[in-house]
Amino acid sequence: MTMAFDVMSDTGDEELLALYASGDQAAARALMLRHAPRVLSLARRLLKDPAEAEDVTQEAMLRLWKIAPDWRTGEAKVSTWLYRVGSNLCTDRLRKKRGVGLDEAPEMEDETPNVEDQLIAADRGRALRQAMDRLPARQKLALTLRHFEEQSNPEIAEVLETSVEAVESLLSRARRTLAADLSSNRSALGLAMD
Amino acid sequence: MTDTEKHQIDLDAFFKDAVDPAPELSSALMASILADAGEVSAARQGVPERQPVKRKGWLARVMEPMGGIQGMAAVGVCTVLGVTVGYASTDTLQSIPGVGDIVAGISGDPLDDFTYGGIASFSDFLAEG
Repeated sequence: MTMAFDVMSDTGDEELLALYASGDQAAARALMLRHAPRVLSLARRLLKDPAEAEDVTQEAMLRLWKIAPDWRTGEAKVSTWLYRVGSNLCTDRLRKKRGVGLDEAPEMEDETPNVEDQLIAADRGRALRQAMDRLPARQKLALTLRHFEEQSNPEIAEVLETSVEAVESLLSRARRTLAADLSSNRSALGLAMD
Repeated sequence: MTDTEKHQIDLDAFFKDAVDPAPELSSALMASILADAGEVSAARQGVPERQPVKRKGWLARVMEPMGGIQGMAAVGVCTVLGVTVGYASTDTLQSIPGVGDIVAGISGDPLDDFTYGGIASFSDFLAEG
């Protein structure tokens, strides 16, 4: 059975997976359009390498295609599962890069021009990204999921395979470190912290 | 306002400024992902679905060591024949083509030539105790 793509916008992830498992390629397309951009966004933030982020996204989606027939309904959300797979793939790649140091991973080139009259908001955003890069990997991942991917603490706990309390603690420590880092550099950044 | 609260408010503003729109998938990436989906589907459909092995019934499992239904049929036929031959009178057997000659060749009691520890016949054996 093949459903029209526009009909699939209202179809749940698990139903789409079941349709894909029964051979419906339109369901695969719907799942890809729904989830791949989020995996790509996470991977780009973690890896800071657009090409590698695309590789991770493709690999995460491939694993979803493979697991589709065995997907156990109600056990995990597809989005959470993909975040977990994606973040694990990123972690593996970052570990391999540790030879040159995790924090020495090449900065992703900022696509916006760095001009003096750029909005303060853009400067803040850049400063935050740089400060996040100095955080331990798990803290950075938790913050990314919380603030950029808008995941709830229980969802982050599922991705990190830990308890909600541990996620709260992780986020709290990360925010403290981040705030202290940004405070200490605010003059260098030329930013007001109000 | 505590320091922590101040940091909290400041950080929220930073996070708000740092949010990027979700990246768009390149057409090459979309094509690769969909190609993977197609390949996985094709591979899955190429492998014949494993059929569950039907469990045999108890009768079949009992008969199997004895040659199955054919073996049991043969045993049954032999049993019927054996009982029939055992109970049939000599005259009846002699009337069966091919069997009559065999029956005719048997002379009297086959135990006639048997000696019971020097005693000439079975009736003598019984008489002597």
